[in-house]
This record gives sequence, structure tokens and C-alpha cells, in this order.
Amino acid sequence: MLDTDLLTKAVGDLDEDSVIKQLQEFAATNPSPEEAQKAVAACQSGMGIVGELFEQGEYFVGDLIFAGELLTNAVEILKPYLGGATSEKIGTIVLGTVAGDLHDIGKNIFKSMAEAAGFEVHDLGIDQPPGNFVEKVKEVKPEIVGMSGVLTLALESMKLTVDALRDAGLRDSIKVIIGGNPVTKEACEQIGADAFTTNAAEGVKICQGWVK
Amino acid sequence: MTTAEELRAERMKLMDDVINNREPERVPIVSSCSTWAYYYKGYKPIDGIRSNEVVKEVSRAIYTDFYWDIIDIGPVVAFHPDIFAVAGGGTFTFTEEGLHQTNPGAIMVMEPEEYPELIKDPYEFLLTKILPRRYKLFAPEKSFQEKYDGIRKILEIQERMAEKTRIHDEIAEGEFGLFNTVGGLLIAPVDFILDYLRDFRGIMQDIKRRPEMVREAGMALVRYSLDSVAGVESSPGKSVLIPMHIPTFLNPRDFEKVYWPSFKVLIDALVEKGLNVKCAFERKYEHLFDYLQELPKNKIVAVVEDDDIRLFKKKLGHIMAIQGGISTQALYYSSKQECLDIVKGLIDDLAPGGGFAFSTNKSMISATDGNPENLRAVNEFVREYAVYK
Repeated sequence: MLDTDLLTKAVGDLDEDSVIKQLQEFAATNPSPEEAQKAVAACQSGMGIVGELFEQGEYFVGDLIFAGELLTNAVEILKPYLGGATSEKIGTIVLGTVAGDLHDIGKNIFKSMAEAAGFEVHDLGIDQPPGNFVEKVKEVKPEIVGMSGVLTLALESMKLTVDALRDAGLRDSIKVIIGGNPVTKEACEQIGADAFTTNAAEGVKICQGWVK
Repeated sequence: MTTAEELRAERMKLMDDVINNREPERVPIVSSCSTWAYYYKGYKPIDGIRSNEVVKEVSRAIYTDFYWDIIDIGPVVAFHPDIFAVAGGGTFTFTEEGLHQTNPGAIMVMEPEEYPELIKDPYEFLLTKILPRRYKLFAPEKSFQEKYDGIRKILEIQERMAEKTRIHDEIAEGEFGLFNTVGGLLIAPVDFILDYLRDFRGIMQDIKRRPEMVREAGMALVRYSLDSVAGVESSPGKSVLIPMHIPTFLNPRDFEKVYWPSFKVLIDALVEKGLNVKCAFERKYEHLFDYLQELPKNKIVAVVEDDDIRLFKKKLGHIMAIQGGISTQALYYSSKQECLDIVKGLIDDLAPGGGFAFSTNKSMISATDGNPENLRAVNEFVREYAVYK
């Protein structure tokens, strides 16, 4: 029988050996889809702990990258047993790194933490022109659009993307959050986003607040 | 009238005083004005790659229109896209404007199981394993002649790029009497593994799964790092620049385990050679201040990016000189008066006691890295205000 608290703790501790061992033993019992879904939820709670420890300054970005890796590997072990069982979706996010910027680390961290928190995330990828955001928003009708960027030139692209969403008549139906090293309050105001963060865990909390 | 040569000598003295943590005559203003300069003159960086005349025009413009004393980085593009085309690979992707970035996944050319080989003989490993994977030109099926011709072509392109640097330096030093403080550049060993071998995802897995291997590889690569500044000699006011990449992302335990050992050996070896070291502490280092206390005194210039620079000076100012100041964001988004207020506060708090040089917190690369009017006002203000009496 899987001890979900122990599993959550192992993910929170980034103790990969323990996580893998627990999940392999669990998989050997041929769990039902519902049981497997509980294990996924336990791992996702562990990711929540990782986010908290990051916000407390105990973990750093490197730890978040590894946590994302750990979570992916864990879900991979559980996948064959999940069947049709899905976790409850709390909202939809269209996410991408904006035009001219090829950085993906921050976006990927945010994505794995947002998914662990229950969001369905549509990741456009890197270097995404405004038109791609607009098309995806039309298609999946998300509550939230997340734009990521590391270079200062990304700020200009973020502004163009918000403008494009507005021109397409979509801006009022969504919340826009921008993330990455160069974003500031001033930049956020000029870009016309609803929120900004340089911290993925905080970003997920902001999004959770929006879909409550 | 003061000649350019005399001006340069004065400015060298300013920087030498800063490095030695003394009070100079006034706070030197350091330029990290890189490719931003092209946008300022209505060009794009690619225009500088294509034309030496543009390099001349842009260099003269930024040194005429803005006040500086010292140069960290000039408006010269370091890499020509053709080099990577001839070599058949590389980690960079170039935009149409001539700026380069690293494509995600482009770095990964080494398997985690290969650490022992890297540790045993870094040069052998890099030459026989990594080069052929990174560049098609060095693939085993290429003939000697093909490789020879390719290398010659690359050297020709490199020479054309070096010519641009010479053109810039002659203008900066010969015409404007500026002092170029960077005497050489190197990448710290563990950053080399990140930047050229294992990429972010790879090295983070290694740090968690096989930290001792990363540490040992770092130690083995110290010689490689040192060799890249082998010809650099000790010179007052000059330092060797180390842009530091991964530490900001590591928790202190991982930093101590994998990065610090080779970094400390590297810094000690450089100082032993009589060199000063300029560490670009990219992003934030507050969580690592305890380690930095152990660096040699009056030999390091810390370029402070996103840390609280006042706190940095308070905690580490007795050990190293501090360089930094206004953020490129403020320079772009804030009003002139707001910028001047920020800078006055910084000078009031950071200049006393010396050991401080003023610059933007990051290199000015794209057009969004500063509003020209703000930059002009800020540099003029520091020039007049930050004088030691």
C-alpha cells in the first residue's frame, strides 16, 4: 500500500531514489486508475512543497528544474496505470516565450508547477509571435495567458502580444501574467499585463487566485 | 589641453584605485554599452558585422554623446554567424539583427556517463569527442584538407572580427582617452560544463545525481580555464573578466559541493599570477555571500546585477571593489528625474570610502536597455557629483 504522505515528502525533499523506489513498488501492485491518480496527486502535492521551499529561499531555480524532471519521471512510471482517470482541472493557461527570445527554463518551470497545481497548460514554445498567442487563445479559450522572457527585448514583444490580443477583441476575457528576469512593475504597466512575477511559484499562486 | 594619452593614464589610475579599494579622485563611469549603440545610431548590430565604417561611426557617437571613463564592453559584436556556418554547428542562433542566443537543447553534447573521461584528460576529451559532435567540420569522415581549409576560413573571419575590435579600441583609447579595463576573459570550470557540454537540464541532473563527478570535472577544467588567459599579464587597472552563470541558480549546499572548489582554486591561481579578477555576478548572489568572504582581498571587482548593491557593499565591500548602479530597466522605463534620484542615492551610499565604479547593472544590448536622454543625464551627473573632496 502506498504511503502518500511519504511520497509527497520524498518529492518535496527532491529525494529521487526514494520517489522512484516507492513508485516502482507501488506499480508492482498493479494499482487501479483511481489509486494511480492518488499517487499522481501525492507527487503534485510534493511539487507544492518544492514551490513553498523556493519561496522561503530554501530552494533555488536549479532545484525547481530538477523537481520538474523528477515529477515528469514519476508520472511516467504511473502512466500505464492511469487509464482514463484524470485530475480535476482548475483552469486553462496558454503559455509561451515571446518573439525574439529563445529562453525556456523559466517557462518550463512555471509550466510544471502550474500543471501540478491543476492547470491545463497549452505551451506554445519559445520565440512565439503575437499571432500564435492570439490563435491559441481563440482555439482553447483560456482564463489566463502567460508570457515569458529573459531578454529585455522580450518586454517589447510582450507589449506587442498584449496589443494583438486587444486588437483581436480577446483581452477583456483573459488575465495576462508576464514572467522572467526583466519584468518589473513599470514594465507590467506599460505592457498592459495584469500581473508580473520573477518567481514561478508566486506566478502559480497569482493564477490560482484568478480562477478561484 | 589634456591629450588622449594623459586622459587614459588618469582613468587607468581611477580604476586601479577602485580595484585596490582606495578612494580615487572621482567615481569612474564604466561603459557596458554594447550593441545598444547600433540602435542608438539607427543601425542594427548586423550592420557593424558587415561594415567597419559603421563600427567607427557608432563608436565615435557613443563616446562623443555620452560621458565615460572606462570600458568594460564596447559596441563590437564578438561572433560572426559565418564562423558557425563554416564550422557546421555551434550553440548559437543568430537573429536577423545580428544578436545571438543559445537555442534550448543546442548545448547538450555530452552524456552523464562521460564524466570520468572528461576528468581524466579534458583536452583529449574535448578534442576527440566534443569537437566532432559540436561541429560537422571536425567529424571523422571529413578529410584533413577539408578541416584545414575550414579552420583557415574561420581564422580569416576571426581576423576580420578582431580588426573591428582594434578599430574600436583605437577610437576609444587613441581618440577619447578611455581606459579599457578588461584584459582577458574566461569561463569558470563548472560554467563551462553548463555552457558548452551539458546544458541546464543536464547539469542540474548531474548536480543532484553525481555531484562528486561535477566537482571533479570542475577541478580538471581549471587548467583549461587558466589557459584561456595564459598570455594575459598583470597590469594596473586591468582585470580578467569572468561572467558567472550557474551559481545564482544553485542552493548554497550544491554551490559548495560542486562549484566553489574549482572556482576558489581558479581565483587563487589568477591572483597568484598577479591578475585582478572582475566577477560578473549575474542575477543574485546574496545566498552565497558567506563563500565570497573567502576571496582574496583587493583583487576582485564585483559586477553587481540584481542584488541589493548597498547590501553587497556592506557585506563584501571590505574584500572587493563594487561595480554597478542603475538598472537598464530604470534607464529605459523611468523618467530622467527618477533616474537622477536613483543615481544620487547610490552615489551617496556607495561612493564613500572608495572601491566603487559606476555602471549600468547589465550590458546594454538591445534598444530597450536604455533611453539615450536618461543615460546622458545620468553619466553627466555622476561625472560632476561623484567627486572625492
